[in-house]
Amino acid sequence: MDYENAIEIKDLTKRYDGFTLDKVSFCVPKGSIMGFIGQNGAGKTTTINSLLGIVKPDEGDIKLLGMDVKEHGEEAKKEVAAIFDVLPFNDDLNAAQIGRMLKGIWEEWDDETFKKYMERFQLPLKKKAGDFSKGMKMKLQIAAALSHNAKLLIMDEATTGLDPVVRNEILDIFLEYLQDGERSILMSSHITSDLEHIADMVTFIDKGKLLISGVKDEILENYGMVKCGKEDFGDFAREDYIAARLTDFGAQLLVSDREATAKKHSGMLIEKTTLEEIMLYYVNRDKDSFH
Amino acid sequence: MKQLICRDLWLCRKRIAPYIVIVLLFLIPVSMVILSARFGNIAKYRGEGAAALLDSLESLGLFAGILVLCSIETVGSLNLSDHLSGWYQYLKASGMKSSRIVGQKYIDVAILLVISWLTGLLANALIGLLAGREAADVGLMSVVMGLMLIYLEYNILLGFATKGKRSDLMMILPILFILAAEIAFFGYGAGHKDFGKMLMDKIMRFMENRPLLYAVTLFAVVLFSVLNYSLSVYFFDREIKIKRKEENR
Repeated sequence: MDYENAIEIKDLTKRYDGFTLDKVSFCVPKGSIMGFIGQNGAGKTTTINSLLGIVKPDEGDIKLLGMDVKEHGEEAKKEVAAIFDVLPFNDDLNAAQIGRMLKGIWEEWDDETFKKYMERFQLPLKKKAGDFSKGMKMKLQIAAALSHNAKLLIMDEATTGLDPVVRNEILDIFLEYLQDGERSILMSSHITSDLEHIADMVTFIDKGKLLISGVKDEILENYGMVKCGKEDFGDFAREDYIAARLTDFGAQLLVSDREATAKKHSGMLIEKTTLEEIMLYYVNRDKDSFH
Repeated sequence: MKQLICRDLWLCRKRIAPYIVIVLLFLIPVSMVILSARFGNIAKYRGEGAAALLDSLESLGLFAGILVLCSIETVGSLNLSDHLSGWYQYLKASGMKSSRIVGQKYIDVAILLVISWLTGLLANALIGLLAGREAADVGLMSVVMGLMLIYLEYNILLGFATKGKRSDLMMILPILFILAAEIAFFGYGAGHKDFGKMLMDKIMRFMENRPLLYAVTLFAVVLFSVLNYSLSVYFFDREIKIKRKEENR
C-alpha cells in the first residue's frame, strides 16, 4: 500500500484519573525519524501504547503505514516493530530460543538476519537473556525488531539508561535502517541529545498536550535564546516569548521566532538554542523561577 | 502458535520437573512393597494380610496423575510473570488477537492435563500389572482431576483479571471453600443432629452413581473452562485504572 506518512495521529485522546492525553495530532513522514520528546509523565508512553494497540484511545484516529488501525490494525502491525525500555522476552530464554519463538509470531521472520545482527552486536546465542547487561538486552531487542522486515520502528525510551558508546552504536544502526527511504522510526526519549543527533522531525509533548511538532532543523533555526539585562527584559511583552528565566545577572528568554524577535528588539543577543533548552523552558514556564 | 506453546512449556519445565520426580520417588517404593506383598517377605510373613495390603495399594497409581496435575500451577505463575515482564504488551503490539494470547495459556493447561491423565493411567496400569490385578477404575481419578482443574484454571483467570498484580488473591477461593464447609458443618450442622451423617450419605450415594458423577463432573469442567476462558479474554482486554505514579510516561 502506498502512503505518505508512516504514522498519522489525529485528535488522539486518552483519559486517566488525573491525566488526559488531549487531542494530540502529528504525522511521521515515510522515511523519517521522529523524535518524540517530553519529560516523565508527559504522555509519550500513552501515545505510543495507543499506536500499538496496547491501550484503547477514548477518541481520535490513528493510521499506521497508511492503514486505519480500527479497520486494519492487525495487518498494519505485521510491519511494525516495537522496542520497549525493558526486554519483554523472559530472562530464562537464550537468544536462539527467542529467535525460534519469534518465528511463531512474525510471518516474515528471517533467522539469518537475526543471527547476523547477533553476530554484529557480539551477543552470544546460547546465553540466557537474564544474564545480559542492559545494553545487551537492548541490542537483543533491536536485533529482533530488525529481523522481520518491519517498515516502522516504534521505540519507547529505548536508549534510556544506556552508556554513550552503546547509545551511539544503536543510533548508527537506526540511521542504517532508514537508508532505503521506505522505513520510518518514531522514537520517544527525554535524552534530547540523541534526537538532535539523529531525528529529522521532533514532537514535544507536555502534560498530555502537544506543544511543538515539526522539522527539527527548522525548529532549531526558528527558536532562540535571548540574553539581556533585567532592564531590557521589561521591553518584552508577554506574548513575545515562551518563558523567561530571571537571575541576578539578567534574563534569558526562549523565543519561537528569532528573526521576528531580532526585528522587534534590535541589538539584543539572540543565540541558537537546543532541544533540551526548548523542553526545559516549555515544561518549567509555570514555575516560580520562570516567568 | 506451536513455538509459543513450546516457549511456555519450556519456561515451566523447572517447576514441572519436581512433580515428575516426586511421582517416580513415590512409585518406586510402592512398586517394591507390591512385589514384596506378592512374592517377598510381606507375602511370606503376613499371609492373608498381604492381600489386604494389595487391596489398599491398588488405587495409588491414580494419585500419580493427580499429583502431576498440580504442575498446572506453573502456568498460573508464568501468566503472572508474562504480565509483569511486558510479554503480553509485546504480543498485543505484534497484532496478535487477545483470544489467541489468552487461549495459549489454556492450551498449556490442556496439554498438562493430558500429560497428567496419561501419567495416572500408566502408573495405574503399572501397579495393576505388578499387583497381578485388574487396574483400578480411572473414573474417580478423572473426577478429582476435573475438580482440581477448575481451581487451577481459576488461578489463571485471576492472573488475567488482576494483570498479574495480585497473586495473593489466589488463596481466596480455597479459603472461601473451607469457610463455607465449616459454616455448613459446624454452623448449620450443629443445630441439626444428623446433618453430618446425612450429608456424607448423600455424597457417597452420588459418588456411587458413577454415570451421574462423571456427567456432572464433565459438565462442570466444560462449563467452568469456557467461562474461565471467556472471562480471561474479557479481563485481558479491559484496562485497569493505572495509578498516576506508575503511569504513562
